[in-house]
Amino acid sequence: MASTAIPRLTSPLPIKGAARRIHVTINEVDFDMAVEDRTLLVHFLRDVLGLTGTHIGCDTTHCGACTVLLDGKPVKSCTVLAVQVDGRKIRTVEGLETGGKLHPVQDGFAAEHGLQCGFCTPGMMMTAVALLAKNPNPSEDEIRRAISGNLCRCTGYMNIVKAIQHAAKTQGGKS
Amino acid sequence: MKVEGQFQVAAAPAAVFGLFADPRRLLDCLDDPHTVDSVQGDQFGGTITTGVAFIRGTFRFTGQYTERTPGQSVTTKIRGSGLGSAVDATLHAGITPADSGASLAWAADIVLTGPAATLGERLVRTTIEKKAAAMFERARQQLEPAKPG
Amino acid sequence: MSATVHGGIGQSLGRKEDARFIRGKGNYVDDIQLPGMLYLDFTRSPYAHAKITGIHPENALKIPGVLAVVTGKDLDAAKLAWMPTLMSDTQMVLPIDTVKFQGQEVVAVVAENRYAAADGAAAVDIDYDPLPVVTDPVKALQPDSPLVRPDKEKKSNHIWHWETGDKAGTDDLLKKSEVVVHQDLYIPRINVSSIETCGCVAQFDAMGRLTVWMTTQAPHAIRTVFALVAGLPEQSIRIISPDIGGGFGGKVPVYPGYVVAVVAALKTGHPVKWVETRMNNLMSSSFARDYHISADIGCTKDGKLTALKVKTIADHGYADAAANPSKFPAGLFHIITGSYPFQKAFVEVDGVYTNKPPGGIAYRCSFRVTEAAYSIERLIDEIARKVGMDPAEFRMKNFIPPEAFPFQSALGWTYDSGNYAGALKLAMKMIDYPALRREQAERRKKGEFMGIGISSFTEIVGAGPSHTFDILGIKMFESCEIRIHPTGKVMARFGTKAQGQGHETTYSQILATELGIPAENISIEEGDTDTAPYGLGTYASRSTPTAGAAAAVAARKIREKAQKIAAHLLEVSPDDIEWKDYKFQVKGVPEKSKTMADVAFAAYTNPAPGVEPGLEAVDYYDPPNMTYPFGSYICVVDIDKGTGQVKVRRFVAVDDCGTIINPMIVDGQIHGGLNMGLAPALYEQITYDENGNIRGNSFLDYLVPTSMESPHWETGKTTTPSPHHPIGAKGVGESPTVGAPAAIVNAVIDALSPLGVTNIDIPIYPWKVWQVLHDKGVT
Repeated sequence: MASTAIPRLTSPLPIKGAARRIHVTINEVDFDMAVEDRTLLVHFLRDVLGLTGTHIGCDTTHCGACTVLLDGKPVKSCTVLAVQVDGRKIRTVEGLETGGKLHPVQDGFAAEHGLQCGFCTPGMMMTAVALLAKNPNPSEDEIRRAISGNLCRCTGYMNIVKAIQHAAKTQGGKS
Repeated sequence: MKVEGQFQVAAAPAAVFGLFADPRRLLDCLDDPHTVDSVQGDQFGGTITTGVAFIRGTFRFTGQYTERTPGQSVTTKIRGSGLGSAVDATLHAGITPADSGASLAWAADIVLTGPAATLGERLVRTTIEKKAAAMFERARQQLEPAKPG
Repeated sequence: MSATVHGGIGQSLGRKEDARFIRGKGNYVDDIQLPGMLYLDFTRSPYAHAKITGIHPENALKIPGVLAVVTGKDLDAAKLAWMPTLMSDTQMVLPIDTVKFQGQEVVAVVAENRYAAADGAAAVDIDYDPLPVVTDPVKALQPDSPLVRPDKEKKSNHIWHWETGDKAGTDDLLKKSEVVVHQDLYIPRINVSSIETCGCVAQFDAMGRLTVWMTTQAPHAIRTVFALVAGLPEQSIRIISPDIGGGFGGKVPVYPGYVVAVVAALKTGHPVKWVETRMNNLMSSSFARDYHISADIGCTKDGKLTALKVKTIADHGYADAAANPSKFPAGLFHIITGSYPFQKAFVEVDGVYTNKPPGGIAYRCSFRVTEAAYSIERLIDEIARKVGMDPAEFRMKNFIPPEAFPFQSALGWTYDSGNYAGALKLAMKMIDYPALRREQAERRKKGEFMGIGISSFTEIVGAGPSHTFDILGIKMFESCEIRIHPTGKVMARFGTKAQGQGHETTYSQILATELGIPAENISIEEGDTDTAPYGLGTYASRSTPTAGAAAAVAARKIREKAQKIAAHLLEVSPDDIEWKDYKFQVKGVPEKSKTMADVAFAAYTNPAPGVEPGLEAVDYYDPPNMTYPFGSYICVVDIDKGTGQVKVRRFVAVDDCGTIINPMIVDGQIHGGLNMGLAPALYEQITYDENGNIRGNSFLDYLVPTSMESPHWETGKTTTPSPHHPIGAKGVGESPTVGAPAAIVNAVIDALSPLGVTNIDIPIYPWKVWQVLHDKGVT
């Protein structure tokens, strides 16, 4: 095996030459950090901040497992650079439960068996949160359209639709 | 995959040949960032940073002129690798005198393998055609005297 | 009112797993961060077949953060360049001189972080001399074909021939049959595409003990394979399968990435993580299906089935990496006689090498059951049409009747129980079949294309009895270990490993019913080979039939001991105690009773004289037979004449999986399985061009159904318990994937049958239908 001497290790995503400082609010907490230019938001969240609830399922923005809210809008964090979120607000699955109380979408997914392996679930729930904020009483068709950028291999989507309807009902049609 | 085309240029066949027979001058017609690291006899080598769809990166290539007939034709074999992909291509350019200059008929036989071929399958041909068109436009600019105004 | 136990069998208990998943607190492989952890990435072959003439890692090693590269030659020095597949074939970990498929791992790069590893992998220069490529198994069998595996003695792309049944008798009966239909069917290569790709983290401790966190559905089998391949003492290997983001069979095989990560961890002294990208996963993880089937089916002129003959070419890519039981190179394909009592049947399969990644694993159905069910249910429709009978009527006339069970099939399987007509009747009632046929007649008059498709499949799951089933010699038993703690709380461990099936919930429900302890007081643990009893893992819908049975039997062992302690506490003879209403009662004196919690406390504080302290049991369950779930599905499609697009209007699925442990989870399994039946019928396929380029190595081209394609599933149940399973349960996860494709395709062909169409190979893309409509002058 060809190898170089193994040096002392740095952080998971070491800050190399081309780094810049970003200020970002994640789940209501302010971070002021240096990131390498090319660091993807999803790696920043997972590997640097340890927010591993946001998952990676593809490399091409198709699966939606990495969906987070950027200023309230769902984005696929595998296709956003960390430097692009400077000065903005991010909400991840870890930010859904507040004051020990689950978000209605989280309750809905558990109540309606809207998840199986749980891998697509965080991204799916973030998309659902954004949908309900915009449309408190979505129809089945509107829900299916909204989550069509989030792939799920386990549930066949039926119970995800029910979970989002459940959440809409418990939110009482309020966003 | 075979791609071909033709273009007219207001320059003498010898001048057109001169450009196509010189790898440095020819590659300078590419919009993509590139280097030509070596030119030795019929052989040359370098890098091109390019992409198709979201597969982007740097190709390393080696080329060899298998035929250079002054004023008439040029045939080149190119092999490159990069982006986890490989390309084997034969490029042929035939030059004939035309009314106000030269006519160039070019043909490329390209075997592309790897993600660049598969991921961008539906995009590869249009990408190559677009890049070829841009390259020939640059070649024309080099060959034709700048028009006044 | 009879007594109940909270969370017992039959209740739609909310899932225990969900508490962590809905908070984003699952623990998947890529979530694991260890101090000093390095990352592994691969330089892969752009060629489908080529000689490696040079490997130049120098540029990669110059990249900051890149620490090491590993090549096939490095592995060869440790005799690790090759490894066995689960089918006793051999496959490369890293190639020494020749690459066999596009995307094959060639050089491993180890770096401080994943970006540097990827940079390094891109910077390794490899010289190749391309070789001729063969991607078509029929061409691969021709004498002038490029040879994929010159390392094999046989010097042929033909791997094996397997056959079963009565060839002469079948030929003879087909000749005598008044109606015979021949049909060729292709079942394309597909990939499970669980949303989590494969990966691992390998770590050696100071004592030389190896721990691997790995996306595996079968941690114990992996441990044994590692011990055999790497020569490590098996007690020094710990495989931990953490939360798995979907498996479906794709996480059963051993992949090169796992092995190289272990080697890299050993060489560097650091933990090493390897996680595939999606493109890597689609290019090089094992594939399912790729069966080229040619079948003949016969019946009398009044529609009584006689004989079935099936010839198949199986494309295995460059290695036979199927995870079938060792005795069955074509899995359980001989379940192909389905729900029908054929007099004679014969099946033969030939396995073939091609320049593609290893194939032959599962896609939510192991062991080739989907291939079988799809074939027979398609053939039934074609022969019914030829006889001029309605497909429902034809099935009703031919089904194995309920009183015939246990039923011996023409190819030797003993079906445990079934009521096929019952399931089809319920499905027809739910969808109002007669009304649909009337509507179809009306629409046909108007020139519209509406189709109704039926699939009445029989499944075979729960591998399997030790006399027939083993993998690499290890019998396919399953295990459960129960410990009841002094406070009456339970920890139970299993050799299986869930990937979304909800074992933590359903196993506790079985134990709740068997032990009389509420499900919330029962914890389930799987996936850690240091703590769990040995098991063969979770795939092929085997967990409930095998581990579920082990749970019940282990719990009954506990009850046996507990009865002695209860008798001691109640000061009567054990013979005077009965287990009733989830309590130990003095016979005829219900007010004199002890709960399991009372007994558990006594087991540690006041055990009966001569009774060992403690309350634990373990069971290794060797199933006496497979279980045979079944169902009837009816699908209604509408075809757009202008575009050829198939729209699934309704889909009714009636399943019978015996005793249902958790109705909510069973329905969820069925929804998901139906979606993975819809996928190959209409959307998913991976093909290769003549250069061996994979077409479909991203979700841009490989069309996993979204919420827009997936219809609103309608489900129904009948319950025919398995007579040999301790709680009467059968498997269910793969049933809908097995049953759904034929229902959808039968509906499409039914719609187009007035045009004389008898088959369109799956996936039925709009362009294929459009082409048919165009050729027939409709569009």
